[in-house]
Amino acid sequence: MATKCKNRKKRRPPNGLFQQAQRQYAKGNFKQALKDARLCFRQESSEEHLRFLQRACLARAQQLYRSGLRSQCRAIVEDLLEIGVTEPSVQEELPQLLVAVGLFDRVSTGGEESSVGTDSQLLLSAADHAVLRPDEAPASLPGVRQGALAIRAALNNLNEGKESEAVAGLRQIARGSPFADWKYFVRGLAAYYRNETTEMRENWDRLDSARFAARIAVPLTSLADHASTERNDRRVRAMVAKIEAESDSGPILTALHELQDCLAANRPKQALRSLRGSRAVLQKFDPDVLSRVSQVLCSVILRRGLESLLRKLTLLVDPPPIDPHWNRARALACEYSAEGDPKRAESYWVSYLDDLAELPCLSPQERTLARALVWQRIGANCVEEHEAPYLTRSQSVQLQDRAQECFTNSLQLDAKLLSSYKALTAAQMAWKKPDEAAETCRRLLEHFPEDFDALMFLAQHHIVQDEPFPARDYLLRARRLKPTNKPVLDLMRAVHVSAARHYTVEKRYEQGRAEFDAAEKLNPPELQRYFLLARRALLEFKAGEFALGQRLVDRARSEAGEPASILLVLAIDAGRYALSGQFAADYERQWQAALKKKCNGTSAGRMCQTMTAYQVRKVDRPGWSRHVESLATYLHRCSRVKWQADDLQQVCMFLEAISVDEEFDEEYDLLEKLVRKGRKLFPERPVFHSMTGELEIANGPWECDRPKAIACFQQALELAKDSTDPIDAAVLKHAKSRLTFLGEAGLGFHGFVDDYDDEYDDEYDDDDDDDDDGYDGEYDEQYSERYDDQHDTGPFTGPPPLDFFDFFKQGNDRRLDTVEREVMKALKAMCAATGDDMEEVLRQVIAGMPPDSRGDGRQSRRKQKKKRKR
Amino acid sequence: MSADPYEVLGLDGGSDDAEIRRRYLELVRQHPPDRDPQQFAAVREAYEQLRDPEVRLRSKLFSLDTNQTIDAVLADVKQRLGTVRIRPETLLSLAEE
Repeated sequence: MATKCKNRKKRRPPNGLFQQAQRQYAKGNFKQALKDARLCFRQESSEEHLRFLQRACLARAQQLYRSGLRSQCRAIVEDLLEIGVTEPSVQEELPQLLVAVGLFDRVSTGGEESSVGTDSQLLLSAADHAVLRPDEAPASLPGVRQGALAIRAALNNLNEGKESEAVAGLRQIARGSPFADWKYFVRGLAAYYRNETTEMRENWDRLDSARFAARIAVPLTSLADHASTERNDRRVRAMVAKIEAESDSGPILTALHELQDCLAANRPKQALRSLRGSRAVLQKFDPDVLSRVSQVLCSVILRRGLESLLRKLTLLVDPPPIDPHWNRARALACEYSAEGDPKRAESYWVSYLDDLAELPCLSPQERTLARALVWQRIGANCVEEHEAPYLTRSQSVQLQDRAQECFTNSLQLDAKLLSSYKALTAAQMAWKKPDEAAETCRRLLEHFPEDFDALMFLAQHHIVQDEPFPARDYLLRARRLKPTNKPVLDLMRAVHVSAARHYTVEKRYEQGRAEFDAAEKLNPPELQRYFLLARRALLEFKAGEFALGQRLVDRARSEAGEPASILLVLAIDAGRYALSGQFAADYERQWQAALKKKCNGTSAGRMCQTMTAYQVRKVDRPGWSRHVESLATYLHRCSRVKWQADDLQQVCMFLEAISVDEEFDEEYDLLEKLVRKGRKLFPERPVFHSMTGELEIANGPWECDRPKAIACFQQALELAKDSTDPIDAAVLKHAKSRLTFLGEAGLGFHGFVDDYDDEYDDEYDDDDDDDDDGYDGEYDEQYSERYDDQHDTGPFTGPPPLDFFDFFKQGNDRRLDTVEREVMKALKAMCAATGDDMEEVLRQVIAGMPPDSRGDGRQSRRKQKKKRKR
Repeated sequence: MSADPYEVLGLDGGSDDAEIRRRYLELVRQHPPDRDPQQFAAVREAYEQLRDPEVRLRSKLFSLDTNQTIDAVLADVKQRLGTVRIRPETLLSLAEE
């Protein structure tokens, strides 16, 4: 060290030492500044050097005091006093420091009183320091020592629980006394120990924030009031830690604060590490606190499906009473984990079923119900797993069987578990097993005879099965529950009409007429009224009342204002009412003749509505294709028709329903055109936006413009959300599911979604130009050519492919040839994971696809269109 | 997150249907809707959450939400620490921290 100093001295110019000391002082390096100042003064005892030395001494002493090095500070102050204080700035600041280090008396008795002086601020500081160290209280300041002793006595009394004595001992302290702050502090502390936060705050709010009492009050306030804003202050937390370190509880608050920080920062791993470190402290304080903290952490871990962290947590804390072997938590973590294995989750749930059988924290009834709920959960998981797009047929069957078995187990344990019946019914409907779903609903009704949903489900089921009489029984029960419910009344009307037809076929005409009367009393909508007349006419024809029948037909035609839709109903239903073939042929001929006349939007809309209704109700009848073809031809001629929104909506819905069939490819193009028209003419109708999105998706995973499809469905969603129209309600539901699909599909297994965005958006996001469709042909050409070029010559860099498997599952455009490489890769990985034979899987995949999608037939809609244009 | 329904009704987690109902009726008598509508609403909401044994059990078995939060634990611990006496020397040493 000495050598170093020597070297430093050598390096410096002799007259530069003082400047160097000043520089160190300015930098805040007071230790070096003081050393250099002393050296300078020793070399040359000038007035300037003396004053600088005094300043350096004071600054260094203050620095040491602030660092808590009181004895070192005191030594330097003593040196300063020996040197003598002549510098005015030092004279001003020194008294505070003298009071703090207990040297005030030495100055006042040493004849320096004139230079140090006394003022009220100094008195307050002296009082504060005297409370901390009564022995060092300056005797020269009257009353300070006595006041400090009184405060200490009060604090000691309070610590011993003698509150009244503590408060009484401070009564003589006047409001203007330098100890008044301490009096309020003691009162506040007494309130703090009594848990009376308001009184505590009232007293401590009066404290001078620059004084010691206020500083002590801050961490205590933070302890007492959990809403205190100071609690996040690091200094306050250090003070709280100091309080904790000297108490029996240990650093519990520090530990909890650390955990709180980790959880707030969403860092469960660090939180677990922190819990491991503080476990003993929490356990010692109160095992219940440890249990509560572990519940919080467990919840975070489960929510994020962090199985490895859960494993560590189970080693650290006791399991909760509801989950004695952690099986429930493990199952939940598996379910929520991104890589969660459903089979593993199921095995944990099954283990948990055993735990539940003897769980002491539940009553016997609760145990049974809990087991039933767990079986239901396993079943629901199987149903969810069944929705995965990459299942082989055998896996699908296995999952269905397992789900069925789980729900059955659940219902065996608790036959009145309504949620299990409903979950099973929904699953069976999703698996397209309506008869089994109906059976489940019947079992449900045995226990819940007034379940409205089940009654309606069964009524609808029987209507679709053309069984009006059982449907009527269920509907009557539903109607008793909700007499004015519109769907009930609509179904009831359909039942009456269907029953009338059955009676007509059985030649029970009076009963048939009564059914029609009943249907009419239910206030059918306008179009249905005309159709009722037409169908009633068919009954009369069958009953031999030809004149009456003809009058009814004429009335229906005149009231409807256009004949085509009435004639279509007559042509279709003549056969269903068991009239002779001549009737059907006659009305068919009349209908065909009506179709040849000038096109009309109302007729088109009504005919489409009629045809869609037959299709929805799966009415099996001869001549269906012929009728569809004739109507489609008619619709192709409707290019110059002035459309009403409802009619165009019905036409589009009909075209959408039939265009799933390849036979009607031409109608698909018409649908695209009419949907564009509908979107332009009636932008307030959500159905047209939804259909535009749907058409976009139908372009297949490689050609779908995902942003456009998303925008369409979002618009449909926005428009439909406040509507009461049943079609809009269906659109709303559909748009939601499609948006979910598109959101997930964008993150599909191809995984290169974001790369294309900027380039793609700049180049192609131009589809709303002057064309009426918001999606122009130029785009098609540009896009298609780009696709073709890139597909032929190298890696495709266009818009992202959507998840092929999602498309496959959802029945959209499927073309193995466009995705073969990725599909083969994915299939290979899947087969490796599941142990399936890849050849067998491929065979099943191809067998489950329509012929065109096997790469041997139809091309994508867009490609076909391009070809036609050429 | 809404308050723990058991806490609102002043019950422990193992209470059965009868206990829940009895306590609910007691609290409704104490806080009738015309005099104490806020408290009544809280009691009612808590009861609605607990009255159906299936909902109650489903929440116990499958819910990831815990009625505990680290803030609540901290507040509770602080409350309990508040009653612990702190030595005057420790207190005064905070002044120069």
